[in-house]
Amino acid sequence: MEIGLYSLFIEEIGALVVSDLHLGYEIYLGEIGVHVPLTQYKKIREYLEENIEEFDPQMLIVLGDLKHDFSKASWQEWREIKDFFDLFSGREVHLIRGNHDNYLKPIARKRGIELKDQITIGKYKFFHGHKPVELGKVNLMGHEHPAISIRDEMGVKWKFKCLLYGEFEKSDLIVLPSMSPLMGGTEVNVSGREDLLSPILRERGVDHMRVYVVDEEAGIYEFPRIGELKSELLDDAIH
Amino acid sequence: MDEALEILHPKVGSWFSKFGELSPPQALSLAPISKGENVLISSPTGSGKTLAAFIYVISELVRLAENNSLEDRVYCVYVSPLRALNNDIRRNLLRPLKEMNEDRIRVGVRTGDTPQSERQRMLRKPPHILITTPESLGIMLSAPKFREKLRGVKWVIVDEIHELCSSKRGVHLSLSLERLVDLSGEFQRIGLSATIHPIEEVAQFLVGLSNGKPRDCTVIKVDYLKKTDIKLICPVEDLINTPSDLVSRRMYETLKGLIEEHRTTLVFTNTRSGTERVVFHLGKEKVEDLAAHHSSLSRETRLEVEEKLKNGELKAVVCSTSLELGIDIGYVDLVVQVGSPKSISRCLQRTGRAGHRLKDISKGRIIALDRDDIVEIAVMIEKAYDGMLDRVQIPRNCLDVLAQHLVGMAIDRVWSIEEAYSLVKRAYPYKDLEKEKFVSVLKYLSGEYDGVDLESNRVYGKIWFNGREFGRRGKYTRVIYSTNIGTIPDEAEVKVYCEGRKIGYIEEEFLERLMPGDRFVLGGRVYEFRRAKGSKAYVKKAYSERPTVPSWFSEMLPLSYDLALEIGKFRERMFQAINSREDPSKVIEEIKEKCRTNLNSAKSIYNYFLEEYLFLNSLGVRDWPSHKKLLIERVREGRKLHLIFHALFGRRVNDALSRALAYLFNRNLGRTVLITVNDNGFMLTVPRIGEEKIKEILSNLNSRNIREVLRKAILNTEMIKRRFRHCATRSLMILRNYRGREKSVYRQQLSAESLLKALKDTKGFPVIEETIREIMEDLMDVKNAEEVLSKLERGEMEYVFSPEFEIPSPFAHNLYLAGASDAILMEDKRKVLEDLHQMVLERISIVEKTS
Repeated sequence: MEIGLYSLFIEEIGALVVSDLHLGYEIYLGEIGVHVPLTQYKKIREYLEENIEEFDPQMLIVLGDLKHDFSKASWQEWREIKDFFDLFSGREVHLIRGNHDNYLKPIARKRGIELKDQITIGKYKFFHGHKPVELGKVNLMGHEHPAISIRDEMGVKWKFKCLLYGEFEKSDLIVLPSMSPLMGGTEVNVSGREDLLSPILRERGVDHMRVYVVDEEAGIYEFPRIGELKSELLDDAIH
Repeated sequence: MDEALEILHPKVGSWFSKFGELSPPQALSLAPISKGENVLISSPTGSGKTLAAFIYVISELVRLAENNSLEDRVYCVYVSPLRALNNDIRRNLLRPLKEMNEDRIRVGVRTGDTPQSERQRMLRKPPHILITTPESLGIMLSAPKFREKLRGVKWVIVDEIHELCSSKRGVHLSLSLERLVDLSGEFQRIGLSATIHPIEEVAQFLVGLSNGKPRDCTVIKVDYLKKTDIKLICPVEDLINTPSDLVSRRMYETLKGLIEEHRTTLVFTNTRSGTERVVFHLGKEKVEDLAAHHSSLSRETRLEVEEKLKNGELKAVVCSTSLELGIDIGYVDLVVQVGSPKSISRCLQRTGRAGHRLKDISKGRIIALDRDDIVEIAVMIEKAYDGMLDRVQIPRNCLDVLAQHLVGMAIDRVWSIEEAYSLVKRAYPYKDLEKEKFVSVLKYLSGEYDGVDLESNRVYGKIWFNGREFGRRGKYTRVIYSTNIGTIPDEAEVKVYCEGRKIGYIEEEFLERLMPGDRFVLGGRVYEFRRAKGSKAYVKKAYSERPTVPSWFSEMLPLSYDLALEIGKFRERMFQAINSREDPSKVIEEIKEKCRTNLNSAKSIYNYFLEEYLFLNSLGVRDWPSHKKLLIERVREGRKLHLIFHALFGRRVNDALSRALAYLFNRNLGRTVLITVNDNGFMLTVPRIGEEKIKEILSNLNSRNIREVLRKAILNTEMIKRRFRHCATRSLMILRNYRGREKSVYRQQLSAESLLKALKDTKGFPVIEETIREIMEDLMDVKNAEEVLSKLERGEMEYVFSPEFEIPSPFAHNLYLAGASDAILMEDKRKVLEDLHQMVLERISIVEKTS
């Protein structure tokens, strides 16, 4: 498996895995009175194109929240998502249903794509992560939008999106970063366990998980485990 | 005087003559006002300005009533920034009307507080004299039915114009007035102002331009009237060596003493938290009949305090800045200011609140809180008695305020670019607005910046714009406009709890930067952040002196540049006196006299300078910080170097210089640079580098490139996120009130950082442009920063290095202990990660070793 730009590529099955794109988020924001120009999709498309070029995947698996909820089915829903599917024409597309994917079904149906709650291919199990699930051998999920925050020596706080990798009993669990530029993320090394979004992570804790920072400018960087990145621990060390 | 009264209708004239003499502003303004001239009256409180403005209006309205030609419309609009003042004014108008037995003239107040029933009544029977606020006027101009009642307005009176013109509220008003001209035709403008400088510019602001030329305005300046008795008070004998908690305690004892010696005392602090603290401590000292007054208190509470004050029921009222403006506060015989008021104008204005009648001497006492404070206050008093005033600064070309008004205009009708542009340029703050910038706002409002095809514009556009004309779009636009109008930024929204009690508020952007364990200052105390949930933050008390996180919400008022330069000159005199071994007692005597203070204060001031002199001497430094010498101290701390610039230019200029320089250091060294700023200087925290390197980087900044550098610097700081939100809200990009949702959702659902990042790439996006402009020109003072750099270039000022040392000089203590206020962030993300990784590994190994 190889980490890509906010993605994971599984060579064994030729699958490119991405998660939490939240297309249409700007429309939702507009509905609550925050009128930001449409900037997300342009960026997301760039990321996807780069991933396709690097890995040339046979199939695409989206681990949920491809689209963000908004109350009316509007033009954007059709346009950006249409474009998204066009990007992957000729390749297999699998969609996992996330908690924000309401109304995605009819759009997906038009392309002959089924929305599923989970998919198993060989030893790999794919799901969104907002509901408890029986684990397979190698599990991939999204939903959490993991990020870490570290304060540098000058006292400035830096926040980076990351991919998490951990071993749970006999299984492996991988949490993908969110591909959405606008959405925030859970600072997994700062939040208490109760504050984690996914029940799966809440149940098991994340301290033992390894951190791979993924940043479009800085690239991919491996960091120690979350437990070792807890801020109190680090700050106390200097005193 | 009799001739003056003859201008008035006999009924009015005879009522007026009952008062005896006309006050100077009244006597001098009656003739020009009667001739239809625009007039600006500048005079102290209690000089009868308001009546001067109204008396002719009332007289004319009486004439119309007598001739049975008084119609059901608004003849006079009175605008003031204070809602409380409005009710006062109404009462003050109704009383004389009653005494004249005049009941045909209607006076009404219309503000955000006016109930719906009252507004309906106003439609049927509009007031002849309408009293309102800038925001309400803006809303009224787009109210389809009520705006018709404003056609044919003859007079507009703008009160407290000195307060309005220096903020975006005034800018907003200036556009409203031009829209009113468009609706109603030209009208006569009367402005009322406290003492301010330069008065001619304020006059221009009031009247605006017509056909490209400034409209005429007669200025009536009566500033010499009020006599003042201002003294500096030092709470302890030796301010230098007395521990701060003792200084604090003595300060409250002194304050209590003053309050008890006088009938009613008005106490000004500069901040809300300061007000709360003073009231708390005075309460502990058992001062009775005490009350607090500030903008965070509920309206009812404030009104209650104002009533009590007016009725003489209170011994003391403590406020931040809320009682600076004109509401009637009854009999106050002493004004005390805790800490420097930061500008001569403010000092005089506040003092002027004491002794309400013109003949009374205004008694003011200013209590110094620390060593820098005492010098500042001393010089301020000296200069105040010399007749010096600081300059006001009027914000220009504010694109966010413009956006609001363009939406309002679009609601009224369709406009051509030319028409709208001409209207806007008639307002003084916009007289030099570039057409390109004007059009960019139209583009933004119509959704054109979204970067997608026209179809998408339907979602975001509040107006339609076809390149030549614009008009309204969307059924919610009018509601959005009237519920979101205004320029006052939202208060900090995150509630902070400590041990179950709510202790204050912080802003969303600040919370975004906090991590558990961080220590920051709130309300003068240090707290440690634990966690946050939703819009609540939880902290615990921290007993450490030094905060670990930069806190930016400086509630502090900035010291004016002009006054800062005077302090610089004072420093030069003091150091010269010490260096040439002048007799200390003579010097101290001179300070006592010129600065109107007591022996203790004068001694404290002298000793402060002596300490600094001796410290620098011991390091071999023979140049001392003044307006001519910019001393740069270098203080080592571990792997860091603190460069302390003794830049005596006031915080606004220092904000500009520090950010620009920090940016250059950041570019050159590739590292994050921390910035700490106050009125007396700024500190840059960098990695350890040598003198040559520092000089090299300093030489990269000059008066010609500072704007460009500053622009880049600002985009790279933490500060921009917060200001961005304010500008975005004013530009109607982020709506405070939308479809019944009144709370801010900003933080919970949007990362400020990512939004800014996305928008920075959009060329000329007005909200970003305005954020940068506001920071550079209104918050900071880039113009005077250019001036400082020019002085350095011309050799009128030079910088001087002191050798590297472990501790800061006495003059640098406050800066050193303040805790950084901002940072220029490292740009190479890869490097950031590498450094963070390295740092983390090191700390982990320490943890492992110690466990």
